[in-house]
Amino acid sequence: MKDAARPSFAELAQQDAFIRRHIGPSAAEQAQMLKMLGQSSFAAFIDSVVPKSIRSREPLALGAAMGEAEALGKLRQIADKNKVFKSHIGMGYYDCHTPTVILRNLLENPAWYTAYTPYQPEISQGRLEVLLNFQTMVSDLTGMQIANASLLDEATSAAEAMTLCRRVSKAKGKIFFVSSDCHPQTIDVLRTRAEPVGIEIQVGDERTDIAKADYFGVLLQYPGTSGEVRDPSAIIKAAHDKGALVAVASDLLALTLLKPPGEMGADVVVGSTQRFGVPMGFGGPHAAFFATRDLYKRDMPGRLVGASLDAQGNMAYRLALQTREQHIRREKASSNICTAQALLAMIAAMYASYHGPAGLTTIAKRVHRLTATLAAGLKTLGVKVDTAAYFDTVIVERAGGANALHAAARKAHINLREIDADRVGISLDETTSSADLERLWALFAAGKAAPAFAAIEPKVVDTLPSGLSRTSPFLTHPVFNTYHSETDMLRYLRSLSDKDLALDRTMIPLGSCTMKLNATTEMIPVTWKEFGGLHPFAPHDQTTGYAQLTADLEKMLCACTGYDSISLQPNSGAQGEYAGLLAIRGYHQSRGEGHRNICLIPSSAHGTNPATAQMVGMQVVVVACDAKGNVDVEDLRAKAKKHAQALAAIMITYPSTHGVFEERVTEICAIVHEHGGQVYIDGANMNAQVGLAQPGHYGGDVSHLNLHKTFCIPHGGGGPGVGPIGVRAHLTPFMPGHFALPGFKEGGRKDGAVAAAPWGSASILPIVWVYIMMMGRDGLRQASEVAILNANYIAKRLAPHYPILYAAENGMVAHECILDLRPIKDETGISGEDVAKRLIDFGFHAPTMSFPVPGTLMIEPTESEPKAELDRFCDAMIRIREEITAVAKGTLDRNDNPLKNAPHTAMVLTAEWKHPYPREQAVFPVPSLKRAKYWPPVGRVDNVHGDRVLVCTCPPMSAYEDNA
Amino acid sequence: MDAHLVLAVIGRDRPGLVNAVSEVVTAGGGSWLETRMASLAGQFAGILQVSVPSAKADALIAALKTLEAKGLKLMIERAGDTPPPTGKMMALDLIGADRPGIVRDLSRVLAAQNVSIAELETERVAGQFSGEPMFKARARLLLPDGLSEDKLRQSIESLANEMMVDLELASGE
Repeated sequence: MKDAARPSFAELAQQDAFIRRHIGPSAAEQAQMLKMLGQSSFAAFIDSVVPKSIRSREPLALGAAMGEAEALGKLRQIADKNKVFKSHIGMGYYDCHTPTVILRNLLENPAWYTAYTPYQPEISQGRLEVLLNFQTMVSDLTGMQIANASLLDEATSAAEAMTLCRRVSKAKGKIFFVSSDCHPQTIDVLRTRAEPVGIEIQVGDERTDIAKADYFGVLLQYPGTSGEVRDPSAIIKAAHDKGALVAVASDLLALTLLKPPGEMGADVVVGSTQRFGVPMGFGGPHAAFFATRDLYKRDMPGRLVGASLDAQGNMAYRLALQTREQHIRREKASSNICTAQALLAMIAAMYASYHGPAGLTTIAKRVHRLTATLAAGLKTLGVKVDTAAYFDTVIVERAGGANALHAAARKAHINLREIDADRVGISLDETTSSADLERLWALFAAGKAAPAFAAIEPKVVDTLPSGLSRTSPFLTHPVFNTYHSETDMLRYLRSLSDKDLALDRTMIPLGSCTMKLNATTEMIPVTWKEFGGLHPFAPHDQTTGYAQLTADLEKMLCACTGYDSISLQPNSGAQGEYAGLLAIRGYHQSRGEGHRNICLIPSSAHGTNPATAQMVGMQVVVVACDAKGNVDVEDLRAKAKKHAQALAAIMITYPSTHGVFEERVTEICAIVHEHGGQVYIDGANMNAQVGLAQPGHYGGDVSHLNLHKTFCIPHGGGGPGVGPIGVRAHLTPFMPGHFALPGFKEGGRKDGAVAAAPWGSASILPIVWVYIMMMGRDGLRQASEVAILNANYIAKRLAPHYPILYAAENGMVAHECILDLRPIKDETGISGEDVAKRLIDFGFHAPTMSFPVPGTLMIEPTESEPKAELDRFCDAMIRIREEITAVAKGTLDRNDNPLKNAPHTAMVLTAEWKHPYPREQAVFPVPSLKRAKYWPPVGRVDNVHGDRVLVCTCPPMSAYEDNA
Repeated sequence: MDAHLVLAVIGRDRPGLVNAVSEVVTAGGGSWLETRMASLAGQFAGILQVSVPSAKADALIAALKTLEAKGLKLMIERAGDTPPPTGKMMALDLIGADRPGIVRDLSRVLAAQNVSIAELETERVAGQFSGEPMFKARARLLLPDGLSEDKLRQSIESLANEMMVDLELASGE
């Protein structure tokens, strides 16, 4: 008998409780919003937006939602299968101590990890300051003039160095000479990047092999992957004599003791900052660095933070040299890099502030002393150490006995580097103890008595080559010499995050960026040591937890996309695009159709698309779009036909970059297939599709997914990102390979590696796993539906006030909407920038500006924003429209008005008030702000000044003096 | 023998403007060769080149002048016999942060290097994502003998840190 008052056990158990925590509007609010849109039901609403031709007929092949505690419990079981051994593998990945004050207040703090890329400098001063600290740290330690705000990983950074050398080198050879003492994963990524653009990689010993090569550039590693520290000066001089450039991969900790490459004439210095407080994380994410000469700043890849002035003449930071990102001829771009590794770069910079120059030097000296002691102890055991001059790594001989040694080491929960049957590598780091050395010696003692640390260490002499000792000072700026007590560091971190807007304070309605909730339960596992403590090249029998996690995820993502296989290696969206096009290229080549090199790209595409096509050696042919931003199908047909013999691919975004579900997408895919091409569907807008449509079924051959958009990995203030690709079965053999992937030793592929680590940014994959488990098949579909509902609700509320561009014929938009500010600007002089800055006075982050159409604002609320927040945003936008109308009518001055003067700082408010509108209107344009107000720390930032007087390292303290 | 006329026209933008000019040109036996026209801030402005049999040139000029009564301002010049200048034709693409005086600075650099501007188009756009004002120029330049592409690029880039310059041999030259 069913008792109406007695809830079922399923109702009490609330297995699906997370769905309603992730999705903002309640069921009642959703009904209210549907009614406002004139819709009778959710199903009818979705039918009116998503074309029937692409709709999935089946529910997602995933399980039901799982509670938060249960999901974490299941993940804990998986994590426990990973074995965290003591890692002495080295190869660019070192165990380290994340200072716990930084761990809790930065890495685990949503004020930092939920922030967006600092395109709006006024609400990003905190993270911009830390990124500037990062640049200062890198340029000080490398001895270079300018450093960027991080790149994806050391291998990618080396590849960017290679292409920079080619652009600016006076030597016209085709060869990029790579020292055989570079990390093998770096060499593999270089090979991937070089071949499609006609660069030949020659790997050899720079002391003997370089003279004969006709090279334009050189990559050295200092200290080398073998640990050997060699003076690169002679090679640099010889290269410069013939007009070639030299890049040096280096290690920031070593450079506290070693003469920096910049003082030896290097043109580029690259490397990883992982060991500055960032867990190894089975390969990532970590921040790589890229430093070069001032002369090459325009050619430098990645983002660059600089100092400038605000409208009141006070110091303010912002992204400098934006013109590099907006480069004129996108199809001539040399790099498609957008994402950096902001969150990890900030950890590394804070690690430097925490320890300071003296503290870092002490850590380096200790690591070196331990290494010298290790070598001395090994010698007493009769073991031959091959490495003559080293910092933290040695290669030791074990003729015929390396395998047995590895087996013994693993029994003792120790990993050594595998080199060959006769030699092993040993790297030490900040976490190595004297007891660790005794354990290592015991392995070599083979049952005999191992030496005692206390007996060996006092006699040890440091072995850094004397001519290569560092003499120049570094990290002299106060920011690296002030926050050495925990109190100071804690308050510094808090004072910085208080300056910024992130998702913990407000909706971030950035179109195309999908700033959705990054739930705490999803973030918790990221810092578990079973995920963070693993070296990416640890033996597979120690990483079975990761194997299960990645296998689960591949299956889940296949279910979401309709593809047959997934590669999790690409560690940004743009890198996923690159891996996707490489797969297409490999497929054509395998069929004897390597001549196919035409890539069709609609004119509305994101700038990374043509840049990526260029990087794989394809030629871009632009396909026209109609007035609605949809692909002009007739133009496409004509161009596909014209280039049928050479057609390689089309790259389309779905829903389009204009936020429209194009009705004819299946036809577009069919036309390209008919003419021999493959279809790349950019997954940037996947958040409108999960559970509703699958690109692998409606015509895509390959897509990348932005796990940092659709699948809840936070943006971290500009990275990390993860951009896996999904492919149909015929492209599976051409996905990125890696020597550390299972199966490589059995003949698997290492070609096509796009990242240094086999699974890219592995340690943040648990976020996605937890999200999908907690949402389940129904929750994921609901998320897409509510994302579309929220966008349409905003469009409907704002339509009477702003023209909405690119709505479908029935007035509906997809998961984002575009407001056209151009007519308003023509009439009143108020621009999109003015509206964006005025939103700061209301406590909001601006929508996306001028993408995909100049002079517009693109709004994407995501499913996570509750109705109250949508209303608060719409109210602000409507109030702003009233101010614009007042400007039009002349009741507000055309130039001296709250929009042009936005944002208003507390300093402006308390200074003498000369504006023709009241102070209250300036800072409290709606009454609710009196209860909770965000005060921007700086006024509108002057970009031109900052680019003219380029300052990309920490300015002297005198620059901060109040100028108001 | 044909005469070549170069016309500059400007007037308040309204439908039928181009048609009004083309009717007169055709009726006067002229042949419309090349045009650059645009609507800017409510005014329609253009330059065009017309060829006409020498005998009919004066009559066509007179007929065109009647358009002034319809609110169009006109300047008409007969093309001279000066031989076209020689040198290397380059396409210039430039993007930089917008600021007052940028066109003056750019043209000054070009003049100092003896570069002639065959065509120049500029616009002000908002940068993607950042929204900051950007200055874009596309031009066709005639480089004097001895001026290298590199030197020209460097001298333009020396105007400002943020100036990104692409130069390419113009196709068909």
